Amino acid sequence: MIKLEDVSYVYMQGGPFEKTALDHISLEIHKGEFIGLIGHTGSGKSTLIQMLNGLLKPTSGTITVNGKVLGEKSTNLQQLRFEVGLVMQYPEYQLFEETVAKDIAYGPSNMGLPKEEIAERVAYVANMVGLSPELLEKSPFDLSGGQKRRVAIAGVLAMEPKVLILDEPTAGLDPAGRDEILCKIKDMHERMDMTVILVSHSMEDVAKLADRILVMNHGKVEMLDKTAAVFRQGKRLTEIGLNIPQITQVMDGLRENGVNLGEGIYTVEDAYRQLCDLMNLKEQPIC
Amino acid sequence: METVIKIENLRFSYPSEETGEEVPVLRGITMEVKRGEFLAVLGHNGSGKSTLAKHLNAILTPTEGRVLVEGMDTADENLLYEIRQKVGMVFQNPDNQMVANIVEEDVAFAPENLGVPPAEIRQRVDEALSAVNMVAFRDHAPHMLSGGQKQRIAIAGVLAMRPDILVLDEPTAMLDPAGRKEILATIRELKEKHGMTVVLITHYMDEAVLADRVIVVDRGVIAMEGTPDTVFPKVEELKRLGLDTPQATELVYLLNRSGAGLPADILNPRDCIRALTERLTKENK
Repeated sequence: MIKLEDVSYVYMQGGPFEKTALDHISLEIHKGEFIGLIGHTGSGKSTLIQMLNGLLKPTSGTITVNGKVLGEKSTNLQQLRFEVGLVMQYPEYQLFEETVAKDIAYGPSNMGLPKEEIAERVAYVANMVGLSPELLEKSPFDLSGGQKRRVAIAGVLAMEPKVLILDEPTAGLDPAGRDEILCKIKDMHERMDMTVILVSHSMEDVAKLADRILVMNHGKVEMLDKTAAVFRQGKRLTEIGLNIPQITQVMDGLRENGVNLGEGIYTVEDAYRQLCDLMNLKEQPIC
Repeated sequence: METVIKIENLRFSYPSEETGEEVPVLRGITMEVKRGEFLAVLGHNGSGKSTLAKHLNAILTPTEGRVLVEGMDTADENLLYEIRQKVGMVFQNPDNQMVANIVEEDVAFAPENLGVPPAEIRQRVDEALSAVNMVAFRDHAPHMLSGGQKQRIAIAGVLAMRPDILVLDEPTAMLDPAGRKEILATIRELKEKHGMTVVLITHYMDEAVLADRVIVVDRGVIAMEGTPDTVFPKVEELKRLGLDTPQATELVYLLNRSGAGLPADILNPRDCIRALTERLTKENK
């Protein structure tokens, strides 16, 4: 679906503030995958996602998305952006229309779709992100923060992208709002047959959802592997300044103390199950 | 310890734009803040915690009840300047709190407006920048700094007024993990080294566990109150209020529900590892 071959990106090349943001990266992301993208600030993750929908062009190397080579004259960038939906950080600041429905319809209108189809899509994605029909005729500026963010996500979904990239979609939300958005994203991924790339600082969030995790560090790919395999490398993750989930820290600490536990445990549920076995306790259902 | 803020049966409501009916936000809050204390106020979005914070320095005043800052009633407009000098506020978005093009000018903004003599402004700015460990950046442009650094400048700008109480309304919500760590370290240092009274409004559990005392606000009333090690083990109650508990605490809670008999007041991985190791090695003997 997405293929990067020896891709580099240099900001202000040749200038006094030249900075290499991506340093010879090669990777592949398959159709339908859910990828968690993590890395500290300045690791190159934002540069990477801006490249995937053609906002930035690689300084060198080739990016292929859905069979199209980015940067080639024959590749229509507008078409690419319909296929790769990017939900930026704090997307609620980008709402501008008079009504929620019009805001969501902005993307599909630019695609030149017939009116009926647009209306259908707006209704579908609004339902998908959990916006009730009576909100559609309200001004987006009268909604709560969490609702606004869902409108912004719906606007990207309405273009029915094949790849959905979300940059920190839970930033600034409280635990309940965060869980709700993550749950919707999981739902969309399952029901709309999309490849999803979720950028996050929160290992806990990524651990819950991703099939594979891509860890960026200083413009290079540090790891790209199954979620459990990445969390098995807790020490390395800490070394490069990432926070591993608290539960992984606990389980790693116990193993170091000689307790017989599996590696790569990253959810409270798994930890609970393993410890119940060890302690001969009866497992209770977790609600 | 001396009480610096006293809130008596605080109620606050505002008229709805659509219907004109009064919408209650705070529905009877009674609490105190002690001098030198680090108090965390927790609550989900819409719980009323930010509205409560805005009452602490008279940005909002009660519809009913009273808020007293060092004995001064916030409803008395004549005391407004004095109250705002005692209680400094730091908000969520550091970009909205920068006013100047140079860090030290930004920090000097408040004392300049208070009419502090130039020599003393110099001294206050130096002290404030040193308290947040940003002296090295004094002549930098704020917009070139990281989020955590900007937020520390915002804190320094408030400290330059020499307040007694620092109120921070979700100061880390827009920061990355590194920035959050910087701000928490700064808060702890201000409390421990400078004896500052700190009220931290947050929905991050890992920040609230560092406080001396926690108040949980829900639907405009105080739902829970106590030290972190008495509040956080109440996993189900917190979940019902739309809040999290530290994962280590949740694990111990689940194990105890299955009859593990571990101490419930575990808040961090270190204590969790110790308790579980002890338990598991005893079992094998």
